[in-house]
Amino acid sequence: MNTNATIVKIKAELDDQGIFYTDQDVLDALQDIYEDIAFNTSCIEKVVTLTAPATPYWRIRSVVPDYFRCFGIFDRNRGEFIEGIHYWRLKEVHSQWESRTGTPYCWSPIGFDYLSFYPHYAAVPSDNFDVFYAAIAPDLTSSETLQLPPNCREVIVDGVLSMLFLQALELQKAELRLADYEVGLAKVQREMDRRSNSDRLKQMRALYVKL
Amino acid sequence: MSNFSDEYLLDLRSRAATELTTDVLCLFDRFSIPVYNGTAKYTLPDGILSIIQITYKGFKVDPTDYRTADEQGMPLDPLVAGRTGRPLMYLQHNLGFNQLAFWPVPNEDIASDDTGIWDDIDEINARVIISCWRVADATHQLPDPLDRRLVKDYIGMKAYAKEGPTQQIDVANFYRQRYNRSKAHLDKVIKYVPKSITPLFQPNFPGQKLVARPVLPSNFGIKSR
Repeated sequence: MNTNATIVKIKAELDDQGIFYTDQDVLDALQDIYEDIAFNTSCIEKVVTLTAPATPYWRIRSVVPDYFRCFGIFDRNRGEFIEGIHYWRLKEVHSQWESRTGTPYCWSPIGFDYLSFYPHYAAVPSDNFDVFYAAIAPDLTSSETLQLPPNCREVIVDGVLSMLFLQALELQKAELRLADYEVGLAKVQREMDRRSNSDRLKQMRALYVKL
Repeated sequence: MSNFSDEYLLDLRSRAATELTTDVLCLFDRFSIPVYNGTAKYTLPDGILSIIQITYKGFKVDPTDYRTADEQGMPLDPLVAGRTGRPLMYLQHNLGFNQLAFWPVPNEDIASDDTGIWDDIDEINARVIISCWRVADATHQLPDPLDRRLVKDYIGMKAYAKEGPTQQIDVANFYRQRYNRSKAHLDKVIKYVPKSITPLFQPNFPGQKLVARPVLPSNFGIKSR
């Protein structure tokens, strides 16, 4: 389902000929709700191949502008995933973990901008990292495909309608749609959580069967 | 007439960033501090919420408190203990706001320089570096996704609750609900640890092994006389 198809669906629900709710209003609300869904459910998953860093701290947001959170890092140099651990544990692994160099054993997310590695490559290695991450919502264009689980696509319609009714101060209608939206959002979250580990792992491994 | 001036909205934006980074520790920062020979106590810059790690010339310095120090046989007052060397511990309790004391007391002067503390090992091994969660301010801004989502909802929540002709309590409640939901989710994201990918590939990583199975002793079942 792309942006245009969603807008058509929303307009049909509104039964408005673009008089009270303009196309721009609908698109703005759609953008807002899509961002909300992507933020709260991490439903936009991507993989990007990047030059492996040779530093203990890696500001990934500066190389991946739509980065939100990382799920896994595949090191092509050794053909394996790097272990993800909590930042607090890095201190326990080695008292001088920031200074240790070698093939990265583990990585850790720190806040929203940084990933850290222990140990880290002393020099940029010959091969790259594949970073599996959840992205923030892009700026919508008419042909943009909305990345939502197929059985949860109605959630975006409910969300947009609640926003539009709220702007028009049709509060009862907004409240009704909002309740549906919240239920739908929880459903998307469940869908994403359900596939979070085993399915995602299978997908990731399938990509590297030949390595 | 609009009740929302640009100044008011900008003020809300800055309040949102402060409140959010205080409620959910999500803004990571690193900086170096100058250390002086014979001086144990140092004042930290404003805005630090929680120290994650301190390294002294690359070596970690562990946190401690007076009770632990007492139990470990350390002098109870590091400030007058007269013991100098590479600091192994730091204290924050009972010292005052934004104060920190090293034990043993540093025995050399180390200047601060934040230039290479993220990526240069030589710099990391030459400075006293504090990694922390901090409050957002003019120089430490929230990342874009948070700004676009949570700050927007916070502004909607506060602005529509403001007394005046533009007050709309229902609209404010709508934004409040969204803000609280997103904030709770943010907390989950920050604490998220990706853990179930690698162990299948590399089960022998120290500390990440499977739960140990109890094994009976080798002499189990053998009668002893």
